Amino acid sequence: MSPTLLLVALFFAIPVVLIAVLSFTDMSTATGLRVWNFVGLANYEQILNHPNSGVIVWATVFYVGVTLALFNVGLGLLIAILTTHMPRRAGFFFRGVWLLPRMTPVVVYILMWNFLAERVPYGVINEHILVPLFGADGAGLVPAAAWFFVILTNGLVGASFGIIIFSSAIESIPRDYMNAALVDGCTMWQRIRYLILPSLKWPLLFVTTYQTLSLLTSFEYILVLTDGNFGTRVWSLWAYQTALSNYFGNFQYGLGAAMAVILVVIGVAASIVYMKFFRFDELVQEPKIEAL
Amino acid sequence: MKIELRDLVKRFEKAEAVRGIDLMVDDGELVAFLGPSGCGKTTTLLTIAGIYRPTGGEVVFDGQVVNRLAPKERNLGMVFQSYALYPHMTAYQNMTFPLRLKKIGEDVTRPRVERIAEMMGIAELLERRPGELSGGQQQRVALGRALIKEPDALLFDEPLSNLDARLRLTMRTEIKRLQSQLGITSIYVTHDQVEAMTMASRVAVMNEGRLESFLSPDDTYDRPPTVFVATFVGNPPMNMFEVEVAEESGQFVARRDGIAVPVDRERGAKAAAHDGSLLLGVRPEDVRFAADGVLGEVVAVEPLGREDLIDVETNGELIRLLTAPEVRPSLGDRVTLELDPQTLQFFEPSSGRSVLWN
Ligand SMILES: Nc1ncnc2c1ncn2[C@@H]1O[C@H](COP(=O)(O)OP(=O)(O)O)[C@@H](O)[C@H]1O
Ligand SMILES: [Mg+2]
Repeated sequence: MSPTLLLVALFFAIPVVLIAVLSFTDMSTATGLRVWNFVGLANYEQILNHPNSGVIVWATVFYVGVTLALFNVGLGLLIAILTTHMPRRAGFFFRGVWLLPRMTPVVVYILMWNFLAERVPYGVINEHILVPLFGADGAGLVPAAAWFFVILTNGLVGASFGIIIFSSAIESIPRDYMNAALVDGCTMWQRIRYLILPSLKWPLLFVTTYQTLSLLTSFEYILVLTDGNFGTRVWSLWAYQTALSNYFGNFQYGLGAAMAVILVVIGVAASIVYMKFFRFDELVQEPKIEAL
Repeated sequence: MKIELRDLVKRFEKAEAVRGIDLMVDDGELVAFLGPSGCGKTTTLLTIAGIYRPTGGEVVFDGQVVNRLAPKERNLGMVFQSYALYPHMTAYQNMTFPLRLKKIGEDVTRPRVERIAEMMGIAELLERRPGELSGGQQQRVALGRALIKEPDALLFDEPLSNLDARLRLTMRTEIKRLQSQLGITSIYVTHDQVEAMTMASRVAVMNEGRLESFLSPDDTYDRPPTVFVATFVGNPPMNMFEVEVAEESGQFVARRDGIAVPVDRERGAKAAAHDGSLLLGVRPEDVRFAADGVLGEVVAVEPLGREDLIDVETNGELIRLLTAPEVRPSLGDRVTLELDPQTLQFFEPSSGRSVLWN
């Protein structure tokens, strides 16, 4: 077995298989590792019939779709284009600053947001702007606009990944292409539309796929910000709370594993759809050069 | 269209790429920019195209200063060393791109592409992408893209440097024929002197951001105004060594210890009028073996096929000459050299300027 295969097996295949096996059991805190049983598809049936499933699916789709479109890809692309059209050093600086929140621990980062959005007298926005200037009631802002904050906190950090990938892709477009486009008669905007965007096909596919998967599976911002309240419980958070952290203290490993398996299936399905959409097969086609 | 540069300067943060260039390209003329890599050829071309804004001086088209005109307002065609064909577009789409930007309809575009494609022998390749074309085919498509909008001038930036030697030869002829046929004012940047000399009506020799000379190919070769032009143009390069020129009993002679070279009247008079030592330049093809002249020893023999390149050492100077292979000497042979008195060049050593042609 080659080292690559070994690594893939060790870190991906084996965990996935273990989780899959686990999802067919009733293992929980109550059963421990001794008295559990195989229960077939019971966990999946339970998820399917669970009264919250539908809502959580929609919350997940909404969360992933909106964060991805507006921030991780949309804002990332916008900032990348802007910073590659300004003087080099200014661009570097701007992108560097954008990386700071990513380097900040999640809890600290969310605490900073809370510091802004808390009710009076703890939140800056309420205390200094909304209450004195607009006579607001001073209630915390997160409960009222939970999705807004969930998407904003995630998106601002998430965008930095796209910014880095897109801007290095833009900068690696050969100078000659960029100059040729201008000589051919492009405005700056037309050059973005006809040259820069088409050359970002690969990075777009990559960032979209990667960020979809990471949004599907990451819940730590939501956990710290709302703990899934105010309608912001997404699938991965639900799985986490079911399997590892809930008020009842009965951690349902089997059920949580089934939820995780569903997430993996959705992630793989999404990746395949993306590849079809971006015509992956064309991107990797062999060139057919023949001599003159 | 006439293109004129007036004291053009382009500075980058760390480098001064163009340091004051004055020249005028006549309507319909093909001018070559020739110079070593890094001398500012591309920068000058891109400034003419409007990609860079000049730091100083003026770019003038037909008497209009165009310094502030955006590239799209200049109606120029440009061909790049890397071809710069858009990889996601077919050859047809590449060629029509400048027209589509101007919202010119398919009814005008298609016949124009077909005519140009026919002219360049790429009619069957129009549906291919650049990745499916050879270098020569790509360069034809790129040339087609430059021609399609019927530009007022064509700018070439080393368009043949990525092609193999044989293809370079055919493309060279083709570009030249096309250019004179269409009568489009053209600037052709190259570091290949053969290309510059064969294609252009005038050659602008550049060095370190400055214009060294701007002359016809023949004058560039026969009447080089500076040491740089004399040694850069010509292969193998011109021999160059220090002498003093004086008139001795009615004959001008260039001397240094152990070497005495007769000089023709006209050149000798100009050289002798100059005080102190001069650099004497003589091309390898203007030196031959003779019964009488400069004594030396053969230190190298390089057969080049049509002729031999011989290195002769004489009083500490190396003189190279081209000779017919039939007279090939052996290493160590003692030989006598004659330098053609009508071809000698003389330069002022400190400034490097010719005392004959300035
Ligand atoms: N965009 C640029 N930014 C900074 N320096 C540049 C840029 N383009 C060229 N230069 C510098 O200007 C000089 C001339 O370059 P260039 O015009 O490309 O020379 P050539 O085309 O004759 O080889 C070089 O020293 C090069 O490093
Ligand atoms: Mg160049």
